[in-house]
Amino acid sequence: MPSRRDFLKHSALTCAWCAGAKQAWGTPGVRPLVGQEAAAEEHAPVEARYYEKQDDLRIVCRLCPRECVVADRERGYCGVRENRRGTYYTLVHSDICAEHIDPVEKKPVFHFLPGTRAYSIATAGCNIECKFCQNWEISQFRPEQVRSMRRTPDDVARIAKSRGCRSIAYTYSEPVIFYEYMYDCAVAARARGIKSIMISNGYIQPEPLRELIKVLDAVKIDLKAFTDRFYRELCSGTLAPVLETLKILKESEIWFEIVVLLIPSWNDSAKEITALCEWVAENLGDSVPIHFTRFHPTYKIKNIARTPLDTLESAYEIARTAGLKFPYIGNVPEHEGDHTHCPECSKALISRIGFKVINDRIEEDQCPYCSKKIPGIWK
Amino acid sequence: MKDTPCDRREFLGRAAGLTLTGAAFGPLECGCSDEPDEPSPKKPPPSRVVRLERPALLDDRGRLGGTGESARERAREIIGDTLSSLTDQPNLKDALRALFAPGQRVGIKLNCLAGRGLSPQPPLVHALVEGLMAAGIEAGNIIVFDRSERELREAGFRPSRRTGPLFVGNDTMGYERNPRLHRSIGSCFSRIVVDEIDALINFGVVKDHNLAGVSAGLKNLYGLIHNPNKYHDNNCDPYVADIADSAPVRRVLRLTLCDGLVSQYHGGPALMPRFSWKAGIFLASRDPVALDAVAREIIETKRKAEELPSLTEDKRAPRWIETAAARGLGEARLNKIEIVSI
Repeated sequence: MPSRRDFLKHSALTCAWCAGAKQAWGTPGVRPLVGQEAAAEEHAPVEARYYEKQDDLRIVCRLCPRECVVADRERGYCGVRENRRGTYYTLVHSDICAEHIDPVEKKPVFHFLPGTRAYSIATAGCNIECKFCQNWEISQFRPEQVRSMRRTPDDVARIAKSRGCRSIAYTYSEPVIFYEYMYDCAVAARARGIKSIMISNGYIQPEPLRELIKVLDAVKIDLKAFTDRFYRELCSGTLAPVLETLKILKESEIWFEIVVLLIPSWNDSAKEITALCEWVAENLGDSVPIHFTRFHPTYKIKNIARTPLDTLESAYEIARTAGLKFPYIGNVPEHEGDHTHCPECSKALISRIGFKVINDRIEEDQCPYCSKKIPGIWK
Repeated sequence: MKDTPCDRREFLGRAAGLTLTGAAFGPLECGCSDEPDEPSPKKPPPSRVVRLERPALLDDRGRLGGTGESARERAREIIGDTLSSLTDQPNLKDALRALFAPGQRVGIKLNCLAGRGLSPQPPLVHALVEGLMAAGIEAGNIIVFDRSERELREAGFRPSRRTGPLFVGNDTMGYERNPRLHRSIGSCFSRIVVDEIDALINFGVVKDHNLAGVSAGLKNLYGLIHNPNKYHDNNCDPYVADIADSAPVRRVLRLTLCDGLVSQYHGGPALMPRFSWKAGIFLASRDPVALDAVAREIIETKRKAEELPSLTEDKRAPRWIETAAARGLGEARLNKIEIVSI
């Protein structure tokens, strides 16, 4: 455990870092700038992948489970893909509305290059609408309604490399809706030895997902809840496609972790969390990290208090009881549930304060105390 | 922010604060009636829809034609005759005086999505603007707008932010900062509607819509919110009705106009020449639900004539018209609507 002195020192550093980050352009949480100066410089749009042409210039999008049927001059639910005379285009390829260098722990991804930095980017748009979205000011707006900056895939890979980032994180909004851009960035990044992480809701069709996985190195999936009712009422989506995504990730052997944001009275019952954890253990195995994170009131849900710590700790214990070896508690600074423990000898392997790694004792993918292999991408 | 229908006391408070006295309110104003500054003749019933039909005024393509004086004259005739019949006034100036008070800031929301061939024709819009100015609305208090300036340009309008009436897009003016929650919707409304105007003229077109069934008046209100793409499921029901029912729209919507000179019975909302026809129709009403009910009938009649399935058979019946009526926004039953054909 870190000493009190260490903790204070790291807290001060973290606060200073966060204050600096607030000044940065494009930091999520900053209002989108709309208006004349906000409009992205127009350039030729890139044709979208995964759609089919229909009669009367209509198309049906096959990227996400929503399968929007889009008429000429209209856009899909995501708001960033537009039908122009029967050809479907992505309007956000190479136009980012947020960029930042984050600790990879902020994603959160705990078993993937701990202590390294991820060049994190986003475009406008999302294919679902969570009423508790913390980044709604970019995810729920159209490209022309936010301030954007041109970054080609080569630019993205080059910036990540020059800033000493080990990875690029496609994050903040929903990367599935900028699929083509993410794919091209990941290819450019891999050529420079940079890894790619998708931070996603998992609302994607199997075929594009399988193709995408080939160029990604890690995935974090927000499993919003374990009931279809939650998905329909709070996210305008459905649960089944997300579970299918998780199964495909498991089959593909790509590294992935799961985050469950616990919202009081909506998805925090012991019964639901138990069912969720048992499903994960049975279908995904006991080694997938699962992060239970604290909800804070925001966007369209401001009348529910933040998640009690007891609820998070209870979920943590339920996960352990279900056999999951790597449960975590998130959005609660300095909590024991932030640390990685060896499932064999229970010794602390990685200690964290906030997004900062204080100690990383894993050696050669193993616990240094009992030699247990610890799953993850460590180097 | 909770958005609830207002009672009479709230409404009067708002109206006083917003210097809306003198305006003539349609059925969107919570059933309240106004007290105009100037005495006006007998007020027409609220669910009157004027249906002007003058195909002879159009060229072969259904256009009023260029920017010449003859096009302007024809546009003045269409706008003037329609609004005079709607308000029982002798001319356009008096008709608009019956609807809007000097000092009011008036917005005109166009529907330019389909470009030049299936958007409100510019001579009609300019005739309306001229009429408003003649009726005492200052040029600087008139805002003609749509979602984006690109769409305005593509429909033949020149964005202008300097002197005279503004022609701008929401992409320039922006949206309010926080989403407004009302029934099924949660959206940031255009700053133009929330901050910049006291009265709104909703100026759409008569056309088919592949998801909503019909796009005439109410569907055009999607252009007032930042996230219209979120509200096309279930054939836009109840979303169209709920946007119309929201406080920002209730506060300002006074008049609905629809350019059906060229209408489209299938393949919308974009222009598809093989499904559009020179209908020569222009619609006006203070009851937005009644106008849409009439527009639906026009499209259904044409679809039947073209041996196409009805919108219901095509699984895209605009049920939101009935939902809007159930919200108290107007009359959806054709046999209860006074349709004035001229």
